[in-house]
This record gives sequence, C-alpha cells and structure tokens, in this order.
Amino acid sequence: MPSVALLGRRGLIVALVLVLAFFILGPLVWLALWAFARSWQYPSLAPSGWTLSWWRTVLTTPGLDHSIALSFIFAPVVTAASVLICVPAAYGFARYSFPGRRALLVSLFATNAFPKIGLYITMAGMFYTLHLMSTFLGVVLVQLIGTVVFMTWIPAAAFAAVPRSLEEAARDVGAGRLRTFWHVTMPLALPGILVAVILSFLASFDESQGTFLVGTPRYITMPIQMYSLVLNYPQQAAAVFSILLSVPSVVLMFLVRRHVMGGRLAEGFQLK
Amino acid sequence: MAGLVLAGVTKALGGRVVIDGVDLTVGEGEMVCLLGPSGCGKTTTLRLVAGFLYPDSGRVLIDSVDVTETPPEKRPTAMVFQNYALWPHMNVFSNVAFGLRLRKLSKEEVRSRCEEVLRMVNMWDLRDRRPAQISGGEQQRVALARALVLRPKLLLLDEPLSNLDAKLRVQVRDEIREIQQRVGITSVFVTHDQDEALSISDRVAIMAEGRVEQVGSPDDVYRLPRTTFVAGFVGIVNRFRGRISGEGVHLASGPGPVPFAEENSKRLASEVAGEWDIIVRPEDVIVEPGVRSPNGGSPVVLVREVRRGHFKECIFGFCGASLGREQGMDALRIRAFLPAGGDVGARASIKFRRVLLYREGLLAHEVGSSEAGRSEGAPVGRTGW
Repeated sequence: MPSVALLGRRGLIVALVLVLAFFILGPLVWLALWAFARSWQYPSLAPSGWTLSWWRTVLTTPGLDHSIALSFIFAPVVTAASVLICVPAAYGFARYSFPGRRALLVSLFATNAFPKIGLYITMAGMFYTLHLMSTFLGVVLVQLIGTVVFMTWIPAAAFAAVPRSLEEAARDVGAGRLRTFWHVTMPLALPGILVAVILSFLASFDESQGTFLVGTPRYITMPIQMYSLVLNYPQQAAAVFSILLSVPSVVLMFLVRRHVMGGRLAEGFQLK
Repeated sequence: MAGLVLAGVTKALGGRVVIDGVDLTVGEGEMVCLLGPSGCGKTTTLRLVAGFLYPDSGRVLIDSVDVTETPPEKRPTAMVFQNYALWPHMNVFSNVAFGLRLRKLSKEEVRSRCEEVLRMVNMWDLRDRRPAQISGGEQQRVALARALVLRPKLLLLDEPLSNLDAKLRVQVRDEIREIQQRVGITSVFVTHDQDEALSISDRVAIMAEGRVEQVGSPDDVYRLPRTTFVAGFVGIVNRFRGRISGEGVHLASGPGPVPFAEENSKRLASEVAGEWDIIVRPEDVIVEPGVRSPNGGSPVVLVREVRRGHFKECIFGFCGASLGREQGMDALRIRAFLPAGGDVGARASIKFRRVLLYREGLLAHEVGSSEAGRSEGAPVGRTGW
C-alpha cells in the first residue's frame, strides 16, 4: 500500500504537469478557438458561433501571397548565410586557441545586450549612407545579426564535444584534414548545428523590427503583414495569422526531431 | 631490417621535456612493449610515431623511410586507441571500411578485405551493429580490425586493454598476440602493466621520465634489470643496502651475513667485496625450514604470507634483529616465493642464490645464477613447511 508521502508526491507531480500543460497548451487552444470564432465576448465562456470567414479574410488580404513568398525567401537565405559565416567560426572557436578567443566569443552576446530597436536605428543610419535601405541585402544583413550568437555558440559547443581521438583515428587511416572534418567531425556535430539552423531559420522568419525599419515599403514579410492585420481587423484575424505563422516552425521541428533527439553523439566511444 | 627506428627523439610539451633523447629500434615483425609508469612518455612516444606529434629533434624512420615530417594520414601506421575511438555514426563494417574507401578501392575489394579481418577477430556477424550496440571487448576487436585492414607496416597499440575487466584483458591480450604473430606485423604496444608487457612482447622497452631505461627480452629485463628503477618496476624485489664479502651478504642493520647458496659465488663475491645497493629476486631466496639448517643459512622467522594462487609470497624477518623502521622495512624483510606457506612465527634459514649489485642505480655485477640453483632442485618443490 503506497504511503501518504508517496501519494502526496504523486499528487504534486500531477498538479505540476497540469499547470505546465495549462501554460503551454492553454494559449494555443485559446488561439485555435479564436481563429474559428464568429464573436467571443465577456462574460460568455465559449464563442457565440463558428465561422471560417476570418480565414477567408486573412487569406485574401492583398499582398499576402507576396509576403509569404518573401518570408520563405529571406529565411533560407539568411540561414544559409549564417551557416556559411558562423559554422567555420564555431569550428575555429572549438578547436584552436588564439589570442582574444574568449573576448570574441563573449562579445557575440553584445548584439543581444542592447535593446534591438536601438541597434537597428543605428544600423539604419549606416545603411542610408551605404544605400542599403529597402534592399534585399540590407534586410538579409539586419536579420543575420539576430542569428549570429546561437549560430556560433551552439555549433562551437557541438564541435568541442567531438572527441579528438575520433578525428585522430580518421587521420590515422588516411583521411586528410578536410575529409576528417567532412566524414567524422561534421556528422557528429550535426545535431547541434541543426538546432542552430532551426533557431536561425525561425529567428529570421519571425524577425519584424529590423525588417520593418530596413525593408519597408519594398519588403513586407509575414510578421510585418501581421502587424497591419492586427491593427486593422478584429482579434480573430490575428489568431488565424498566428497559426499560419507557426506552421513552418512546427513542420521544421518534426522534420529534424529524429536527428536532434537521437543522441548519437553520446554513443559508441568511452570517454577517458 | 628495422621496422621502426627512433633516433635521438626529443619532445617538449607545455615547457616540459616529455621525451628526452629516445633511441629505439623495432625489428620487422617484432612486437615491442613500451612499459613505464604514467607520465614516463610512453604514450607521447607512440603519438610521435603515429604522427599526431612532431619531435623537436631526432628522426623517426619506418621501414627505412624517414617520416619525421610526414602527417599521420601519409604514414604507414595504424593505431588502436585506448578508448577505441570507433566512429559512433558508422556501423562496424563502415568503421573498418572507411580507410579502404578513402583509398578508392572497388566495392568488391573493400568488402572482401573487411570480411577477412572481421572474420579474423570474430566480428563479421556483428558487422551491421553500431559501436554503441556492442560490448567493450567487441569494440576493442573492431578497433584492431580497423587498424589491420589497411595492412599497415606498423601497428601501434595505446594501452588497448586498460578499459577491459581483468579476465577479458588476458583473453584479448592473447588474441592480439596471436593475430600479431600470424600476420607478422611490426608492432609497438604501450602499457603500464608489467604482466601484459612481459607476456605479450618479443622485447620490452622500459621508460622512465622520458628516457628508455632498458630494452631487452622479457627474460633479460626480468633477470638482469640494468637499473634499480627497472628492477623495482618489473616484478617483485628485495632491495637492501649492504656489504658483500666471501662469507655472504652483510645487510645493513641485519644480523650476521646471509650466505650464498653456491660455492663459486663465494669466490666471485670476494672479488667484488664492498658496499653495494643489493637486489635479490624472491625466487632467488632459498628457504630451509627449521631452526638450524645443515648448510648454515641465516636464521629468519616468517612474518606474513600472501596467497598468490599456486604459490605463496612469504615475508621473513631476521631473528634477533630489532624491528626498527629507521632503515625502511626492506632492510629487515625478505620476500621469497614458496609452494606452500607456514605458520606465522615459524623459523627457517635462508641463503641467496643470485644477487644483483648496483652502484648509482646501475647494474654492476651479478653474483650466482638461477640455472645452477634450479639443477640442485631447491627450493621450489621442497615443501618442508
């Protein structure tokens, strides 16, 4: 027979799980309800009726298709640029010691230490002089800033976690530096890099402040479109848009779940 | 023809000289163990041979080709790592095949060569497993197969058995030796375990503080350790300070001299009479039971015995001598191997059959011989206790 203490502990765990579920799932459920609500006013507990009209409103917004397309162009481009710039840097941070290594690594946080909008306004000033305002490159650059930190830190940790003896074993059987990186280091660091890629993709996809400042009026991405929708339509439209905006994130998470959760990194070798 | 030559190799790491002028020659098809305590530079030496480190001075030659400046991927060496270092994202077969695939061999050739080595180490049936799905002993064998499949000129083994439990260690050790001899591959084996070194190798190189103290066959190293360090590191020793004369060995702070077992030892002993560092192997201590032995050995009393399987290590103290510690325990304790022990406090008398004399750490003389002693039939087999 379970003791009172055990029952108490179980009860506590159940309560915690419920609270957590409420905080995580609650807003999502609420969002889903709103997206199909005809109207929903205090004090009624449920919407007064159901409708798909908000979906029609949102999906027929002029320029929406264009914003969706834009977002799906910017996010991959920014992520790819971020990978090209940051992953080699991450490898450098993980495998070589050079003067100023720590200072550089920490200074990457500096971009996140200030209110973003202040940084963006300064950047906008620079971009005017460089004729980057309202250009594709300008938007890519401003979105890139937000991805640099985790695109460097997470892969650096992943590279550092690859035991050197695995790389040495590859050199030993005849692989040069490049092949060793490609066949051993890279695959083993891949889960960490994938996490950074997802975060970077989503950061770019959801970025609004900088894009708004640098890109408008030429480049209206989905989040910026959402701002105007939220301002011009009732809450239901915003709910529909939020759901649309979260679709790519969910799809991405499912795609890479196996790789990230696989825990391959910890398998197969014994640490000294 | 030498498989490997190290000539005056020196290496400093972090401002400390780790390898200090190492000279070593490994013959073709020979297996040489680098044996020494941790920090003696044995693993560093191996890494210099593999090419993961480059020497500050000196040359490394493999099959008479100077590879001192050659990167590891261009050296004809293959290494078995201490932690095996199998690639966790590849299965057993791919781990072994990786090196062959890099060499752009045909698919059929890769497969047949992998099959050959994997069958040799009994891992062919588990070829589709990931390293995480096989045991430590099996990982070990895959690591060996991965090294052998490239048919290297030189096989390097870096404490490959240290992560296995005691029983498996002996089994895998014998397997490695058997395969090494069958393939006839020149090998360097690093270990800190003297049993491992003595049982597996053709020759042993004992290292201390970045230098090679002695290179020789396991028998030679055990029988005639060139320095007191080697004597102490390989096997068990009785070590004393004392004086040698024709009468026997006068131990500092011991009672009368311990006589030699052999007549001709007395003549040689009188020629080298004087103060020495004295080392006597336990099997060279001849024990006669009883208070007074007919041939006049030195009287001792059994203090302690340690079971060692089929024989016992008996520790004796001298009768009448104070048990003071000022000279260290060894000054008054004698270890001997006997087939059967006795009661603590039992009396006996001892003689020395073979005595090694050192001065400033270096072997100067050997007085007596084990071979002659054995022909007299003493002491193993005589069970007076």
